[in-house]
Amino acid sequence: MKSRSSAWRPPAGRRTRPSPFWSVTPAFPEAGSTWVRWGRTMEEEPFKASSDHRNLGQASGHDGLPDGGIQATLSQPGLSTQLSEVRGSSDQNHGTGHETRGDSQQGLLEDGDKSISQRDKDSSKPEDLDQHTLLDLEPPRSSTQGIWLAELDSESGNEHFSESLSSTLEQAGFRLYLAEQQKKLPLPLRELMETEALEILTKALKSYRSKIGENHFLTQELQRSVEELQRRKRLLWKSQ
Amino acid sequence: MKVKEASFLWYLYLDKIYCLLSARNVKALLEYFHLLDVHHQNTLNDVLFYHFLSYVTNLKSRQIRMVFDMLDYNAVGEIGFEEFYLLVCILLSHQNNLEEQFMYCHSRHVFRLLDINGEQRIGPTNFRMYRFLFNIRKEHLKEFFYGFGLTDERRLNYKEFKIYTIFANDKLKEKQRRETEKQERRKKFKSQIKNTVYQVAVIRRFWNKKIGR
Repeated sequence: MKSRSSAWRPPAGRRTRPSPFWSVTPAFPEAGSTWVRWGRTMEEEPFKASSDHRNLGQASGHDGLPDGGIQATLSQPGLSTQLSEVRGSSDQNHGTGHETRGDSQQGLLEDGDKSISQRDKDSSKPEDLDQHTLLDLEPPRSSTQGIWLAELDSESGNEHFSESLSSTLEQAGFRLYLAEQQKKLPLPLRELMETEALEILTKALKSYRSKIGENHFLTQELQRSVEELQRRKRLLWKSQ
Repeated sequence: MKVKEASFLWYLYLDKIYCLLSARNVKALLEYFHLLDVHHQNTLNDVLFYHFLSYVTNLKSRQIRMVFDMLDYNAVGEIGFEEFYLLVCILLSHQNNLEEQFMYCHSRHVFRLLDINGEQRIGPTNFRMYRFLFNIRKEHLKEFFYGFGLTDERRLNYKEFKIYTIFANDKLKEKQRRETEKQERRKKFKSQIKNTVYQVAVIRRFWNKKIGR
């Protein structure tokens, strides 16, 4: 074994070469950015969540799951769009709701920008705003909210409003879950990796002990890592 | 050489066209690499590398040492994540019978790996040494050399090696096409036999009914 303290000599006749690998490794993004797909089976069947979110996030232009921040701003227009859809086309099939939501989301972003700037200009006269523009805005916190809610009650009915509220809450919870999952690996995968790493490192520890002894600092470092992995495994078993 | 079933590498997905992993797979692989990097040097030394490869594959000790020497291009006794990632791609392409496709897509990297002496030329010795990894077939090599009017002991530079990879890739595609055609012919033949058997059964039943009257 080659320890850090002793000089390692390359085999006879070996020359150093320029790195061939710099262009192969992808410049993968930081943690928390878009997850495309992973896994042998999951490449064929992407996350159901990601497919749902792809519809919502299409307007943002991201390939994978969009950031939570973008989702937060889209959620309110999504709610209002759902209501307008219900109002506008009551005989539409529920199954196509996703697609229409996705399409209208795209237009909404463009409208949203306009409506926000418009809102800034006409902040003193919210009543003059177009009904469609009102729906595009994030739910206003002042008097216009009452008007908005009143309109909803009168036209769409309480049922649709409560349904959309509950779906918004579910979406918000789900978004938080996804944002966390974006940063972490799935638990089964993590467990598999740690189990495998533990077995490999346990064998490596035996080699270290036999070659450089137990008191060497490299052996002790490896031993600490092995103990850490064993502790994590025990915790996982206990929690299950 | 086989990747151990149900190991972590076995679950990774290698793109069949570019022979690379997706960003998500690379992220997972990086986490795995960090678990093995117990000394926090962003590298694996030869012992850790040896135990890793002996766990995930069925390679022999001699072959593992050869792979390590191949990847340790700057002769420091350790390999970094870039080399680790490339090795995983090679293992998975071998597992999925995509060696020719991999060599075609990444001919420059494969050439530099095989050129262990840094002479910018590789010969049949290099191919023979790493045949367990890249599955470079003797008959393909002979055909290639013969087709270009070269002797068996001829050493190739990068451009010639690139042409060889194109040649090998074409051979693979032709073989796959022939296999697909064969399978289709078999299917067609089976369905024809089924139809014939069915018709015979129908006629027999009809005949028996007639006689039975």
